[in-house]
Amino acid sequence: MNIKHFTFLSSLVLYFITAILWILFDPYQVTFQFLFSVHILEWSFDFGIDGISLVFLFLTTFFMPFCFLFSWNTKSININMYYIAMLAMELLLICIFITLDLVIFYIFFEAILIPIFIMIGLQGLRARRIHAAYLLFFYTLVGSMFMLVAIISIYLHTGSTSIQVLWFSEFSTIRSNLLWLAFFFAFATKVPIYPFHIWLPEAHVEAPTEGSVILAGILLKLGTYGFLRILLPSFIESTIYFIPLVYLLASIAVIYTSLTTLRQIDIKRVIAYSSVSHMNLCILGLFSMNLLGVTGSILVMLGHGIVSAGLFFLIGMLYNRYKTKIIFYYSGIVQLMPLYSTALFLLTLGNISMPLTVNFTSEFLILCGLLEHSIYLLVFASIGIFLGTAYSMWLYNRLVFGTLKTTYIKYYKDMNRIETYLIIPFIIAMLLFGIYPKFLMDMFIPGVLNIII
Amino acid sequence: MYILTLILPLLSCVLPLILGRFIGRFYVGCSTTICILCTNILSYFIFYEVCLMHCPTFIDSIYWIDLLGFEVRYSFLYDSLCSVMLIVITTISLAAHLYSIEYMNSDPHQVRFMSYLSLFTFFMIILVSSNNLLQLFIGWEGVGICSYLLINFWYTRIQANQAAIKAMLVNKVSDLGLMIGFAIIVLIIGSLDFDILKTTIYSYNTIYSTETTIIAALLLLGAVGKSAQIGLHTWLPDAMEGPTPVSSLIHAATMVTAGVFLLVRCSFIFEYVPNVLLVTFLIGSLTSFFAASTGLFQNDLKKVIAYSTCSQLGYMFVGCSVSGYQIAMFHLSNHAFFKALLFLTAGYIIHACSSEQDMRKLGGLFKILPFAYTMIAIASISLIGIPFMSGFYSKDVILEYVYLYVNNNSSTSISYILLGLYWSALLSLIGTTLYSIKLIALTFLNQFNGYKHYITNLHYPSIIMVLPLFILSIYSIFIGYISKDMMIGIGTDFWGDSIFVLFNNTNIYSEFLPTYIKLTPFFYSMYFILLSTIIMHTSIGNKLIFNAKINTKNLYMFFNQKWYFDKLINEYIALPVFKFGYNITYKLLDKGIIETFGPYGIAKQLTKNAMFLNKFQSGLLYHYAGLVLIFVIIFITLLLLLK
Repeated sequence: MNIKHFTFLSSLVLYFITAILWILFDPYQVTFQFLFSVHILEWSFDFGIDGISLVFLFLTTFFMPFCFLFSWNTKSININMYYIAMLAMELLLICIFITLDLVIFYIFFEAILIPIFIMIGLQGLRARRIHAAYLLFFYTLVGSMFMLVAIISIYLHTGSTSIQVLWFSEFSTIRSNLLWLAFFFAFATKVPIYPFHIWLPEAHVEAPTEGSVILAGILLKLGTYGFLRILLPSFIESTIYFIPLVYLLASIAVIYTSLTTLRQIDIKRVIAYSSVSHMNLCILGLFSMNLLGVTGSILVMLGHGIVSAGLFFLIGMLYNRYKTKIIFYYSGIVQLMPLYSTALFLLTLGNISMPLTVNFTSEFLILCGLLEHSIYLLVFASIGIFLGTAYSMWLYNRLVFGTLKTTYIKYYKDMNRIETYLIIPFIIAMLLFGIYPKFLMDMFIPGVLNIII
Repeated sequence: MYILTLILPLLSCVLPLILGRFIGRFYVGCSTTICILCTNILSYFIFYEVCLMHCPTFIDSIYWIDLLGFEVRYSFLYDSLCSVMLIVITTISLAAHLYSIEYMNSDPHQVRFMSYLSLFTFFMIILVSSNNLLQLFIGWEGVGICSYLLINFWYTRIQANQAAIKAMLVNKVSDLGLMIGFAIIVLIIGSLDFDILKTTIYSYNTIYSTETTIIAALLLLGAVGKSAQIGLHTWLPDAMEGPTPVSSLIHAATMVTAGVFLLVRCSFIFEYVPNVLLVTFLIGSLTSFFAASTGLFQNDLKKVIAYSTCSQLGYMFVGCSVSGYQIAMFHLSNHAFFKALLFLTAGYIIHACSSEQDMRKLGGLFKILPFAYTMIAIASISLIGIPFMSGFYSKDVILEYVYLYVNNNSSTSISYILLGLYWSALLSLIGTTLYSIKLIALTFLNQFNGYKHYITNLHYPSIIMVLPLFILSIYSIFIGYISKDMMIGIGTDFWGDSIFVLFNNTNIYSEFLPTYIKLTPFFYSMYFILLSTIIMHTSIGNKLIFNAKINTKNLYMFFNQKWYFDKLINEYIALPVFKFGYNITYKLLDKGIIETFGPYGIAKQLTKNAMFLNKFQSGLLYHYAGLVLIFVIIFITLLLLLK
């Protein structure tokens, strides 16, 4: 048994553990479950999961086996470093999602950058990757700087860095607003909210496929997880004070990034901008502070994770074969790669948010939640969804239909067994959670009620 | 039995996709047709049980969304409205399946085609049998996706791709209106079930209330997009890029009637908002006039029939707007049959004449394809509304209802506008007559204008293509008379609870209008048939038109280019959006301003500042001495000042 089998098996074991956690989870309990503490010297750090954490844990451990499966047959010199980076990332992500302590959260929030930097900076092949890695680092670090100051201020004020204590402590209005802004900058660069979004297309284009999958699937959700866990429950009055700011930035982003998508030439950039658009729609729902909106936004996170990860895998398959990601060279793929076209179609339907996929259920719930605040938000969100259909259909049509461009690509090969078996769970998950989302909603609704009440 | 109508089409969709390679095209064709045949028979049983025995059925199933207070279940409702639609959908789907076994015989992708047709039937059945609005929306978007797949069936053709994307996007605009309407309903009432909505909208609002008006207007927007009314109609003529069975199933009989179905299903909302009904009247009559006038100047066989569909859908909207939901449904079912017959016969002609679709290159087929001539003649005279065919019973009654509505509102300030809209509906009737005559004349009665190989390669289709046409022709002759009294007779209780009409909006007085009003359409159509025959077939008429000195080029181009709607949307809406998306959001903002104030700008500024500070470290002693001297002077000055 070599390292390939070992890493794949270990990621499967982790997924199995998450499944067991799901079964043993008690949806009727409102507090954190499976609590345990780690004592280092005189400090103790709490860990525990909630319904919301469970959804993100599921996402994390769901994607990892597929990442290892995708690179099963590639031979590269740095493969060991790549495995170490992926497994380290999985460890750090799991720790972030189960921690209930601000300091641990901050440490791992920063530490995630190291594996991603390794993957983008060393695995990629173009000179532009340095610029992309630099952008990624710059934005996250500057944001986290504010968060460090905020955490120190909270420790000095309350005497503890536990999240559960933070939820119930009181701050004066000005201090609360400043702390809110500090945390907001940290998470806003991760989400990404409007002015801080330019690292995302660069990072996605330069990253290898698995890096993009993890980036789009989970790392973007770190920002919204931070909102859910730290920002919204702790500083409720400040949140309500700053809601217009967030709505402004998110509404601009939803339409703006969808418009930019229509004119891109690189497939990954299209999906990256589409990720920005979906995550900003999620932010719109998150800050609506009612049950429908927040539930919808958590489901968007799940749905967007599944669909974007699947799409990045499919694009990675094309890249593995032809080493180009520019749309111009691809046309008429359906004639010689029908399985691939079917898979791409089903995942594109998810991007469009057709009913029976989880994306539709979630976006509809967000629309219902937004209405409480203003009807103009609904119009902006709807225009964003419309443009989403436009660029998804345009991309799909351009890649898959039409006549073959045999002057550029001469040999076509359909999906092999590994790739087919890799994509099928994504499609099944998207449809399953769309048709019967009650599996998930029963789990995290008590957690959501914690936040908004 | 009720859920089987859902499962059978789904099965017949999935089976060819999975096993098609192993079974082969003949057995795939047989199995899908047999599944749809079973669904058709089941729909007749459902009709018997639900409508004739007055026993509507509700089926409640698992939860879809279960939040605290907002619940959506998968539930089905089979009442008279649903069962009429089921009969229409399944009959025409059966005809299209049977027909395409032979029509698509030479196409290597026939298996995929049959499966997509069944998928479409499945989604349409979900649409009509749902008991809440969100499930209706599943069917709504599903048929949109299926129409994308089917218009795009010959996917190597650029025009087909463009038409499919156009259909998706225009439908999406209407879907957004619908979703916003649903969100408002959830906010106000808290549920999307029809049972709850029927009771609470009445008690929540009086007439002319704001929220109900907004909800109804958004639902109307949804219906306008799906039924290709004016403003969102641009996708329907281009959707003729798909194969002919697709046109007959989707764009004649089922998908475009989904908008009308939504209006009738939500009649309990629309009855309380006469403003929105007035807008419906406006849209419907303008559409019917617009489509009839454009169809008159088209040259493609299928496009004429497409505009005819658009025009008749306008009629159905007009019928709904005068609170005649029953007549709209009646016209829907009649129209479905003779329109499907028109499309399928057009396919018959196209298939026989080596895929020639341009009417100007056909002609003289009267003696060569007599069966096609018979079918087109039956369908056309039904469409025009010649007495005692199907179309007569529904079209003329719509005009009677409209006359009644205009008469009742003749003392209001908008009475002249209403009268104008009545005349626009009459003008569209004239247009219908004229383009039907034009179609028959150019294709059959003219001299032969085609190429020699059309005649030498003439291919008579077999019984498989003839049988659906024959069945549809029987329907289009007799269904009007058979179901007229059941659907729109005075005092009928056929519709039960499914259609709600306010007591003062009833239309029964149309029976007692003077006879000359009721015969107006008949006189108009007869007159114009006579006029067009004289002009086309007599030397006096020919000389009259030939010698008339009218510059027809601009007029012709205006109507042929669909009143320049396409050009308007392309040049003034779509192109600026694209330019904005690249020049402003990408170049100016993303790569320009944000990068300048972000990483690029900061990096450059830091480098500049670092280089500036670098100059102080020059390594020359007297520079350092000079700096020390300057700072000592400043320090001493500050000390003296502070003292």
